[in-house]
Amino acid sequence: MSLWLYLRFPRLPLECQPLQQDHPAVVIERQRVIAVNDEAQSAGLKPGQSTATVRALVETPHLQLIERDLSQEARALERLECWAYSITPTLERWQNEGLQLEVGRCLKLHGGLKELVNNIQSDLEQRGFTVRSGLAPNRCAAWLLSHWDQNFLYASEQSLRQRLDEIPLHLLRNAQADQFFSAITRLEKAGIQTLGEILNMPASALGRRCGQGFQKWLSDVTATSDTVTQDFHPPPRFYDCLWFGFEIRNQIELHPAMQQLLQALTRFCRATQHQATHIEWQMLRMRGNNDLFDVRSSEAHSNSEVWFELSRLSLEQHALGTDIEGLALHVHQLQAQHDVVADLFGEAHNREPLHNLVDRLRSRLGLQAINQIALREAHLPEHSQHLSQDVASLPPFLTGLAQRPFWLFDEPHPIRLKDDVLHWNGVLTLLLGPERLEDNWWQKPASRDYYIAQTQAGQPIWIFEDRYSKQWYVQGILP
Amino acid sequence: MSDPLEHIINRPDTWRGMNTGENVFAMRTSANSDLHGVDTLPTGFAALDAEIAMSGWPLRGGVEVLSKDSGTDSMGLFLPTMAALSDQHRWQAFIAPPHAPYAPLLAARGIATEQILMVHPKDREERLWATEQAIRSTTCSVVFSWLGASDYRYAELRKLQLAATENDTLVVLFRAHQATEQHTPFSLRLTVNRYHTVDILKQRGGRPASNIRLPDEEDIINTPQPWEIPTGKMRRTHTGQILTPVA
Repeated sequence: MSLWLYLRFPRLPLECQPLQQDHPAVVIERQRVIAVNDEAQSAGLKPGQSTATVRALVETPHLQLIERDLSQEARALERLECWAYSITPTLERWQNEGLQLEVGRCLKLHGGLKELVNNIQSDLEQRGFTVRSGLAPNRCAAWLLSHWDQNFLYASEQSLRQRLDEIPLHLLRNAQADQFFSAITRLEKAGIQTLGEILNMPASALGRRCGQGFQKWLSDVTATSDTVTQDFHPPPRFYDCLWFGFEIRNQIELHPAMQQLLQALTRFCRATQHQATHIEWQMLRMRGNNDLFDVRSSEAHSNSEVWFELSRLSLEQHALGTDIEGLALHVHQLQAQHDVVADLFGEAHNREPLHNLVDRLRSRLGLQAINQIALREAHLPEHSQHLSQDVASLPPFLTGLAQRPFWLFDEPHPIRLKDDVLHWNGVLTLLLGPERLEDNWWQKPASRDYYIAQTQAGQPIWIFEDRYSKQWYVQGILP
Repeated sequence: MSDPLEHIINRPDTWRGMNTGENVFAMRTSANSDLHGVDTLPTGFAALDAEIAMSGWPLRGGVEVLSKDSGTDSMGLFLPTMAALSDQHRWQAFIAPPHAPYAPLLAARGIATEQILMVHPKDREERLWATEQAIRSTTCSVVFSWLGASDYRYAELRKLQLAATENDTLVVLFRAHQATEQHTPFSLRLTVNRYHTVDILKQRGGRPASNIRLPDEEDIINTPQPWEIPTGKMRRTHTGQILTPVA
């Protein structure tokens, strides 16, 4: 038997838009109010009123009159779908105002129905969504019950029929069952007050009176099972945002929101078996451009604590702009999760992965500040290695060169030659050489005679004479 | 024994006058006890190992190297250690190195060049931060940090030293000669005055020692050779030897 939990978001048009806290706000569509917040409600505003009425009732300059934005609503529902995917894969968007979740098959996983519904409600509350829920073996009834008394949610000892019986007919009309508007009005005129009374009527008589469509709908509502074959497939990207309702004045205020969004990402990644190497934070403004910053990791993972640590370090490098009132986390590309073989007993068991340090350093010092040395096949010493930002393993390279410096100067330092004596931090004495290196003939030809020389302090250094310019240089310092 | 006292005595960075005898195996050894030798790494130079009380680089506590040019001339001391640590497949971090190390030499000495992680902090604060991060992270077998000639408060160095006692990373800090006058929290303070000549200025559980001569690199002839600067004229080297032009 299937069990559908319908989550209806009656204030979705309002809650999907950035709002200022503690001020009345209404969403209007075609000059009519369709949703109001608590402040507006206590000021006497309610859905259905005209814009003119709203203006007459509320005179505060803080009144927020917002035009309905269907695309925002769709985006919010998409985010909610991704969130709900961590509860059950069988879910669908319903009438663009809520989500149907099939929870019958995952009750054990979530610790029972009561636990699951409580978690869902506190989660949604944290995300700033008002929710009405309905629970029934089929989607139609779940939807209908979400309009009815919320205390009936757990009344599972009552059969579906018992719960439906009590639903007053006017609720059916309010619940926007538009296509049956005339049928319901007619039934009401005939003195019928509850759904139970309709269901008790003989089916053939009802069909004649109210039409086949209504009868079909009634049989849908009372069905004991309702299945969909297609599971929800979440997109391989992640977006979620939080609006604070006030302006952020220092970076620490962003931390809880960051953690919350990263936990949502982790949950999504776990549910979809994805990982990320690159996340993008957007600091949102109600008006004007958002501030962006990237956080990268050299290994793909979905560990929210590691991402938080890296994000915190990156954030410290950014000056906080003004008018920041929201935070969004965007992962453009998620990768399929790869399995990590954990070492259970080895010595390495308490060590963190090598790339963690690199990521931490990069997050604060910048990408350019960390590099590795790599070998290249070239004769000129300054060309035989390059500094690589790509921290990956390098091919093994062995050479017999031992009379080489430990430190190599980026640019050779010129040596002063005075009275046939070389001077660099004192007088130099030649120890070994020459060794001729010629290369680069296709560009700027180089021909150098290399020597090992000793400084006055006894330190051997690597010097050369440029055979074209007759100038001497220090190239490096021996170990 | 009261708990706070026991806590202090059991800290790996506490120095103790004497081991009390009984119960010594039950506790963690103190910083200067005989048993502390397990946390060391041979330097690769017998002469140096003989003079260091722990017979090697202390893995918990840090090594401070003072030299004239803030550490470019002292890397020879650590080449055998770097080669030995290459087996650990962990980072060998170079924080604020004065130049780039030359990869062909490292490879020739058996050092895994891919383990060398070079970090270039912009300023003093970043240098301290990056050093501490590298020490605290368990991902480095050795952390070399060129602190340079800047002044550091004792508390800043103490923070690094505390981090160094927490795990088995060899911590080497290069500082300028001027730091000789200041106190150091680190287990071992060396100075390199002349090439391959080391003085131990301070060490835990041991005495200072001077003029420890390290053997020369085998493949470098360390006596001046009669090579001439090829300009054709006669010249006199600083050793007073007369060099004759090669015909």
